[in-house]
Amino acid sequence: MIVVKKASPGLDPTGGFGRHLGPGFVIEEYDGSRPLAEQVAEAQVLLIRSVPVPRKVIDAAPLLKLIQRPGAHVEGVDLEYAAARGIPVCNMPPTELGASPAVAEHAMALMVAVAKAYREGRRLAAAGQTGGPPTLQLGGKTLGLVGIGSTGESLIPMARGLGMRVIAVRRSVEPGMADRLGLGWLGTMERLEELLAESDVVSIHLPLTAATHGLFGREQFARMKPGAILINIARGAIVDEAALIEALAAGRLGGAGLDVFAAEPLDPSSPLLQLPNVVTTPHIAGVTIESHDLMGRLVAENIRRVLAGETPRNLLNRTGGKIQ
Amino acid sequence: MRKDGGPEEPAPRRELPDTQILKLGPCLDPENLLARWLGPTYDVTEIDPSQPLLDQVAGAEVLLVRDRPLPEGVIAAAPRLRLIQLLAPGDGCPGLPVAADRGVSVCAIPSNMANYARSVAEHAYYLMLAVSKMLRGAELAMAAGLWGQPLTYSLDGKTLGLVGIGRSGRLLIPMARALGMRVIAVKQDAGENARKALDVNWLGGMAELEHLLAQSDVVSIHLPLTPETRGLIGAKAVAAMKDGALLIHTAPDAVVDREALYQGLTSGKLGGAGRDLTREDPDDPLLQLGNVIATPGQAGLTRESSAEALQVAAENIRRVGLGLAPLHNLSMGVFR
Repeated sequence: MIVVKKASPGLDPTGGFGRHLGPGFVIEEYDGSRPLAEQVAEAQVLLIRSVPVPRKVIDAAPLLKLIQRPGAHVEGVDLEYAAARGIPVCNMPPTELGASPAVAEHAMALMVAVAKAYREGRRLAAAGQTGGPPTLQLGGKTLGLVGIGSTGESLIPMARGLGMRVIAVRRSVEPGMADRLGLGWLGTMERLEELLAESDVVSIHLPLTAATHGLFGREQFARMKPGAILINIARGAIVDEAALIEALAAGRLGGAGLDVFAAEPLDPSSPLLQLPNVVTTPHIAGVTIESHDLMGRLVAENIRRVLAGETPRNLLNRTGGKIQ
Repeated sequence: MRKDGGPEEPAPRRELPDTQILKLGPCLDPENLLARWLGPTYDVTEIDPSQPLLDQVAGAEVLLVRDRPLPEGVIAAAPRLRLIQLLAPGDGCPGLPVAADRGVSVCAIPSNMANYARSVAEHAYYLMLAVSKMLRGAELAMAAGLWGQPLTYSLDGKTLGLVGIGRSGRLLIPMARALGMRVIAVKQDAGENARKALDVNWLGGMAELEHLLAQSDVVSIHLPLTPETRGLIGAKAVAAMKDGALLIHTAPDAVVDREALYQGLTSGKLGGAGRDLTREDPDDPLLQLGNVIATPGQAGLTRESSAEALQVAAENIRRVGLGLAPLHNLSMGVFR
């Protein structure tokens, strides 16, 4: 029996991965009440998501052969130590999962839901009422992308299809890029303030780095248009959550659509779950029925490769130790 | 003291008595645009929902409503009434009392106003995304501390089927295509001209409704309520839909048979539904379902479309004040 251990909550919620693995495998659920290191003694494969995998966890798993992230972002994994132990760490780039359009769809869903006053509308409708407050029309408004990446690139035509103008800032700008992408204008990150002042909706499409950590704080919210909407499907820590809550509660911002949070799972007492002008989802952008099925197939394929002594796909720690 | 909450203004020199305008709802003009545009010789007030309506209409010369039938007895209780102004096109709401014999004009906004149709299309788009991205299920998951679920529907490559097109459906087509969706439609006049004018992958007549339902991952209704369309989406239509399909309903409530939709959603035949409620009913069983997102009659109601409709209202109020015929008069038969 090969033991595949879910090393984080929120992995494979429907249990669909088992179908792709077939017989001979046991999938163990994650136990949030105990430290991860106490749960991995039998594990040959760790499926990871948001829970860190430091040296201590790797040492507690003597049978470990593969650390697999069924998704893009790998944080808090001791890649070098895993490599030194001969354990490959792999992810799944969004391009491989076809996730970028799905993530962009999710960003659109959050944007329209905030513009159309989702929480307030639901509250009135649940009481059987008809006649809510007027909502915001998005046609003719400006969407500002901070960073573009593959998700932002998918988002541009969707927003334009809704009749929006799209502008963007990103780290580096190549000639002809703005026209190719269909942008009103495109600048480097130095023009962020200008973008914030011009946008009715701001959507974040940045990786989490030392430079982007806390990039959106009180000062940035003050520079946004009064009543503007913030969308974050990227990484929670890019936004100073306390400053965001303050700006939303004060009515400085018109609303926020958030799929990611500084700490996940989000504290159930967070005001973000209560504020009337916020829409939240539990880090599910891109987690579609289709992409989840594909994830299951790719997990099964990498396990097969590792067990057969082949190099797994999308290896992140090639340079260290025994893995070549 | 003005009851509309607007800024206090110095008492004007009055040569004519104030024209009394009564807003029959809290969300008709929340920014008090009418009072601002019309100036001090017009007395714009909003009904007090805690008091009986009929006690408040005695002096009203103009009643503002969105698109609902007026409650019983209002016209009799308002002897000075000259104009009932709807802030929506009148085509979706039969049964409005046409008070022509009393000399009261019932006026709507023209249905070709740009922002109204766009707002309906955006609302259908919103409901489609909200249902397919499981916003309600996501909310329940977060409240329960669950993470990374539920799984959502992808729209890229899926088929959207429009039942009826109209102005809002026409605007929805490019929005859906920009999501990578295939768009098919049935409409009443599906002739060669319509085929050429619409950017759809397939267009059929209403007789081909079941064919459309069987092909569509998402079905969106864009029909007016007529004797032919009442209950059109019933048990037979639900059965013809794809398993797991989503239904988006921004048209008048009665086009969809509520019981049939409820059965479809609770049996697992349908994946979910998005509905904009046009009929007040707290006992609606669909409101309790986790795979239904309902909005309180907000399709077509954006700040932008509301301002546009209020401009028509302001113009009509001025015209009535000057003894001119108001525009877009439903009781003249043009819109009936």
